[in-house]
Amino acid sequence: MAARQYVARRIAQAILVVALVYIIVFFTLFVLPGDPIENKLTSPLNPLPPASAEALLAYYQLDKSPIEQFAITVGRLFSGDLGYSLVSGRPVSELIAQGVSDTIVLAAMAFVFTLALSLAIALTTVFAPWAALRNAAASLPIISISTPSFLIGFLLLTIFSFQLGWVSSIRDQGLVSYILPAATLAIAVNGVLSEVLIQGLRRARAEPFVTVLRAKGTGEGTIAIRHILRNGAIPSITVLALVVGELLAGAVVVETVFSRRGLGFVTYESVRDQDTPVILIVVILVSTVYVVINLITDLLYPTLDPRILRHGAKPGGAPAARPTRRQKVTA
Amino acid sequence: MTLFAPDFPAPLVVDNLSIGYRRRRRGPIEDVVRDVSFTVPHGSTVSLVGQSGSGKSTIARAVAGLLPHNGDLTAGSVKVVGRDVTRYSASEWRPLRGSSVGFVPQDPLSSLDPLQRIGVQIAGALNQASIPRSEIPARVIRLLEHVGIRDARARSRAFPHELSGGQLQRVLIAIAIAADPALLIADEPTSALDVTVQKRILDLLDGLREELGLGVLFITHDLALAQERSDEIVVLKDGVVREQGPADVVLVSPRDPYTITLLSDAPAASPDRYRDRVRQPGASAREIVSVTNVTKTFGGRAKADVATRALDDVSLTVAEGSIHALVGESGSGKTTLARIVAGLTGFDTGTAVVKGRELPGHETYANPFARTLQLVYQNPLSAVDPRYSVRRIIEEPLRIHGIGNAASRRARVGDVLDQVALPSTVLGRTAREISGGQRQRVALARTLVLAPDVLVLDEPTSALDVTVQAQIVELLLDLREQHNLSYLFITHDLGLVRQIADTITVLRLGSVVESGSAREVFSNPQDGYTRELLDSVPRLQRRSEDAAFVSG
Repeated sequence: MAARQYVARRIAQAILVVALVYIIVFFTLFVLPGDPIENKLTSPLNPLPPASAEALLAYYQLDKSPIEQFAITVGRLFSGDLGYSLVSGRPVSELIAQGVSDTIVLAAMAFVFTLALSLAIALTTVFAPWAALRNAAASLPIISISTPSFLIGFLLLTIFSFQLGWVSSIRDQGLVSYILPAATLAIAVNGVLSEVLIQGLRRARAEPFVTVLRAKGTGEGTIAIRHILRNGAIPSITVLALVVGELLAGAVVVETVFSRRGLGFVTYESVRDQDTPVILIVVILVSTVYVVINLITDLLYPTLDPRILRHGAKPGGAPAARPTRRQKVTA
Repeated sequence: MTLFAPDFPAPLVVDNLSIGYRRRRRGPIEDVVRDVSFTVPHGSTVSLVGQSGSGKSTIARAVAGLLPHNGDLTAGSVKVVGRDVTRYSASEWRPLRGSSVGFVPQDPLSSLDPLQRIGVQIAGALNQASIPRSEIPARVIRLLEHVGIRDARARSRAFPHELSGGQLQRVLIAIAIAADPALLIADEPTSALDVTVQKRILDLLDGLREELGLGVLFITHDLALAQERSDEIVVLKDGVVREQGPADVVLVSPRDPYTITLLSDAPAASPDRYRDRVRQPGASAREIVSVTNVTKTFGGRAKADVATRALDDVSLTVAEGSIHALVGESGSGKTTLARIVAGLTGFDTGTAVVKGRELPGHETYANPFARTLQLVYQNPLSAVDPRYSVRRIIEEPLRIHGIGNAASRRARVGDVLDQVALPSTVLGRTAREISGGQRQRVALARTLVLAPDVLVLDEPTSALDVTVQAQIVELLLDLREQHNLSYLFITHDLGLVRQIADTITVLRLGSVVESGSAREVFSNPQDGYTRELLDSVPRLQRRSEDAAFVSG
């Protein structure tokens, strides 16, 4: 079956990409001349007690050749050992696990906010009955793209925490505490998605099939949601993967602004302290998420658009062009 | 139709109708249609005929309540089955849609939602018509069978991209008649289809009209089609009715000068217009293009059954100074052959020789014999860089081939501009800023600037109105005589072929079914397919001559 082959090939490609990223990052971080791990551990400024530093030096086996070091690290990776922080001496898996649980909630909420915001902006821009409202909505994506997230976060904090006092900026209030940082991320990140969605809706609305739907008496609401939105949203599926990447990148800034101890904060700290084992795992984690999201969107396309995969699998990009029609002669 | 009492209201009555568009928001409404009146009775077809910009599609949209937001009826009235819909809002229109007015669109390939199965889309039309839900699936199948779709049950589960253009148009007709309308509006319903498919679709529409007593408002630019398929004809120009009346009267003995021009420009009406300019290449004529036993298969790498044989053992020759027409329906391999001759597509077996030099047989990135042979495309607007000025478009081939200096190139551009009869005022404009006919002249000038021997013309006039088409054809004939050019002329317009071609090759599904002198093939077609092709072409009946003529 062409479909199964396609899925298998895409999964293999995804695994290959993650493996390549791992190899490149490993050799860049660990084996470059002037060994960063040794420098860090033997530095008098290192907060670790000398005994722990000694133990870590032994653990990383820096006297072995780069290839051997790589083999050891990969072997440990598969047995669940992600290494140890050079700064605190704690296992990297522990540090990451702590941050990830917080960031997953934040990113998921931000993702939902982004979708809702983009849909609202795009639908208003294309379908709102008043020109003033349409124009106002149309200008939002560019504002989103050009406003830095720390500024948005700072504004939201000032208004909702300091002025109105709705959400505490210090106390942990469970899910409520996620709302402001998630909203910050969504406002900062939705621009590209909104823009692509607006273009898609405009193109779909101009298709002749909309006239035919109207002529057969389909209601405007049904036409907009069931037909124009479904057709117009297909190109923005590709952008969803980018959005997830931006959400993870944006988490670094937003978690710092809102003093949250999530993955973004871990990233920030590890880079600040040149804690290479932590950086390695963060980079791998983010790239894996990114690749997986891309894989999901690629596999999603054929289920959303029946034109893909019919003619001997030609997937990948947006289904802009219709498959060529060779047998038009038969009526 | 005896089915209806005389006082039963006609499906459509249009009375002194004017329609306007706002060019700018809050700007004034400018009328594009003025003072048009006609009636579509039950069981008969009224054709609105005119060239692009004549307002025929605007009228079709207006009487179906489908005008864009910036359009409005500015005067007169429209009555659909006795109901005055002139001032109807969108919500007032909705109950009439489908049940009173059915709409058959121009381009079947993009007129169905690509993400929905066709059965669902037909059911959508039935949903509006208060038909019990349980009956809908059976009704969908019956409608598909009614419009001549075989294996209707399976077909109803197909997606639009799985059907051919003709089948899609049948599905769209099923949607249009699903809720039993009294009026069917068909806006150029076959202009995107092949001529044999066109005939079958129009036969279907005619049958439904008689069977269901439909009134049909038929929009077309094709005079022969209008005469063949309608009872009454309304000839429009610039939004004004120039002539209207029974089809036989208007087109057989036209009174208005515009109708007369339109008729004389239609290839269908004057097959012998260029008779004295057609040449019969003698046996001694040199061959300038010769293709011998060429076979081309696409996508042959994976599996044998996936590979599509685009050309199968095709041979043709173009004699120097002659016009050789390559005729066939979509998918016949015409364009593949044109690209092979231009060296842009490779081929598997056989030989292709252009002016004594053999083509390499593999794909090349650029036409290897650009100075001998040039291609002219169907749509000049998409064949030129939209940001280039006309001067730059025409000069580009000279730059590419490093011919001359700035001054001599400028002079050469001026020369070819004269040859294609364009004023030098167009030089500074872009393709978008000139008319369609001027664009095709620019495209011709661009090819002529290299002084080639052969032009491969791929449907060069099919995007143009008949009057403009006639001017371009005259120009092509003049250029051939002045420069001893040879043309490989690809077209589906058999009327045009009959007017100008010296020799002809008929392609079908990648194979040559017939070839020879154009006159002989037309007067005495040997192959069954050629006969079907010729029979499918609508004919235009003229008063003084009893013979029926072929058009495109």
